[in-house]
Amino acid sequence: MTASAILPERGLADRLTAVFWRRPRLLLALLLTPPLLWLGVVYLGSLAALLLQSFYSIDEFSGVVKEEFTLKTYGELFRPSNFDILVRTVTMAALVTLACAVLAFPIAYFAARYAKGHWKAAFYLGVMLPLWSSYLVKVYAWKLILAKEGIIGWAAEQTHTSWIISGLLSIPGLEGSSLSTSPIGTFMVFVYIWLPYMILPMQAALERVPNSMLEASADLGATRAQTFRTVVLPLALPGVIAGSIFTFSLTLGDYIIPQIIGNSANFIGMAVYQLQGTAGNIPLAAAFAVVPIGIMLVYLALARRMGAFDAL
Amino acid sequence: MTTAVEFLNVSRHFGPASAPVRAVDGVDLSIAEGSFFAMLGPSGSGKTTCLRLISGFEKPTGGTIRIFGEDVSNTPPHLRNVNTVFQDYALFPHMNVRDNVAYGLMVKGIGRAQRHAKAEEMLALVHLDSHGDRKPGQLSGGQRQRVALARALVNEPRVLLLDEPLGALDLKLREAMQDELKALQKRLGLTFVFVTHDQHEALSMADSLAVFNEGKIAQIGSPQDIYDRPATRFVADFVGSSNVLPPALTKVLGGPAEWASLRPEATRLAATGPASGPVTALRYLGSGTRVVIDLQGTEVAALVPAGQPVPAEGATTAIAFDKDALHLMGST
Repeated sequence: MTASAILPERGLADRLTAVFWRRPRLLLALLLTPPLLWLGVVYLGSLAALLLQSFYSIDEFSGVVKEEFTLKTYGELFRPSNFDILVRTVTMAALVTLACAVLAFPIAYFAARYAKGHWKAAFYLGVMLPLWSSYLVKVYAWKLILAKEGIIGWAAEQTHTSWIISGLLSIPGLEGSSLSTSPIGTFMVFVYIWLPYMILPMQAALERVPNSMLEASADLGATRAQTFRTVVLPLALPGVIAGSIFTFSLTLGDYIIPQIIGNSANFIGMAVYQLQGTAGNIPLAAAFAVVPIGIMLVYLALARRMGAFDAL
Repeated sequence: MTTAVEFLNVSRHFGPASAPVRAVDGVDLSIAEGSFFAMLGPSGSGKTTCLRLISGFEKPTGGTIRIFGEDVSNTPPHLRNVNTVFQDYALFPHMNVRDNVAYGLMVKGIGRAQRHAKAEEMLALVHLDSHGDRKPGQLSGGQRQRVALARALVNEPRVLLLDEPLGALDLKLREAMQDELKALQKRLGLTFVFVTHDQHEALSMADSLAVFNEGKIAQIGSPQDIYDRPATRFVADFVGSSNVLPPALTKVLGGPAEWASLRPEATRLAATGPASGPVTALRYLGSGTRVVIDLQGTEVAALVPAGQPVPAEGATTAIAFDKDALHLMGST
């Protein structure tokens, strides 16, 4: 007996596969519909609602939201007390991003270029492990670490280096009774919490730079610094930008860390939280929330102009 | 004649000292200035490691390397006046072709106008003028190869190292590039050190070549030396389509009891002879037919020129050859 040129269908799976073969776009459509619905309706919809709210204003006497388009609410952002919040938050986010990038680079570089096998597994575990425990637990743990009686204070006392900490805490603008009540503490905890989000995209970007490219650069006479500046950094830049988007926007929007650690000075997230809750000023809360989005758009446009995405 | 590159008992071992992997093991060689030198060998034979020892990307674990008489043991790659064409070309994807070629001048601090002029000159040398504004991703494999060549030549190195540069090209392009590389080398009078696993490429391009096996040089000499007078069975096996005859068969065929190599071109078919056997395979080559005969368990190939009668597969035949075609390689 000779076998037939067409094999018999074995069931539903065979028939479905045949349908998808005849209509290649059907599978794509089925796969994309749920996430697009989620993104389109839930995410973009609420974003639009947010944007809409920010153009309303609140009646100062009655406290009722006036549903008329106005830029008055945005104008309020520039009142000194509000503008301080913006400057403080953006400065903190920029510093945190910078510190994360500097700290993350050697780790990501090691993981991408040298780590193999067990070391690679150890790297992923080490970077991801902090993400397994609760955010709040970590923040409160840091509050204790940074407290006057905490391990840092104790270690400083034992090594007679307390003067460094008191020196830092006497810098104008960074004052506090201990690290955990100073903006320095806020900064340290932000850097700790967001560091993995910088390391991972950086490592992925560095992994894509072949070794021969670094060798070619050295072969042509470049020093390590020149190779870093002209080859490694431009090729890793998409990863650095991706990481900085995480650290920058996460810091811009966070309202828990500055509440628990630091001198209780307001950040954008905290302002939004208070305005939409106790104060009931939804338009101003919305306007505050639009600021990080605007900043990120400007940042991305600048990064693009600098050629950060040319190597993509 | 000046010696461009000299290896004195050079070794490169990897792994623990108790059980080292001997990638390069006690290699001595000297490459004359202005020559086209090929390093030939199967993968893992140490030829690429030798090239990387010259460029400085590997440090020898023993021995001395001299470039134009200077000991480079403590010289990092960026201070060595040698440049490399990498196997994967390693062009910088974020720079256009002109900036890629000018890179070596840029890191030396040479001004934009001057380095771009020189880069254009190099691009013209490899017939890629007018491609300066493209990105490497927009070029074909052969064009990328030329850019890599231009980039490696821009610093006017004293030795140019080429790591299997033609490996990724298709046959036709590879042959064209072989001619072009050879012509370029002659014109520039530069020392080329070329790594390849393709024996035809090595034989046709090199002035002299080293055959590598398991970290050691099996033989070093001119292409004629290597092809006609292989020093060991490995060389005969790897380099040629030469027949390798075991001592017993050599003796039967009228020679001493030694390993011998016999080129198919020098082997004729005969009606009778000291050894005969069945034809096991026929391969038509256009210019002739390669006939493989099983002689006492050893496959021996003979090249029958076009126009002469070819036996059928399975037919019994004997072989004949001139006495001096038999090259002896010792009894071990």
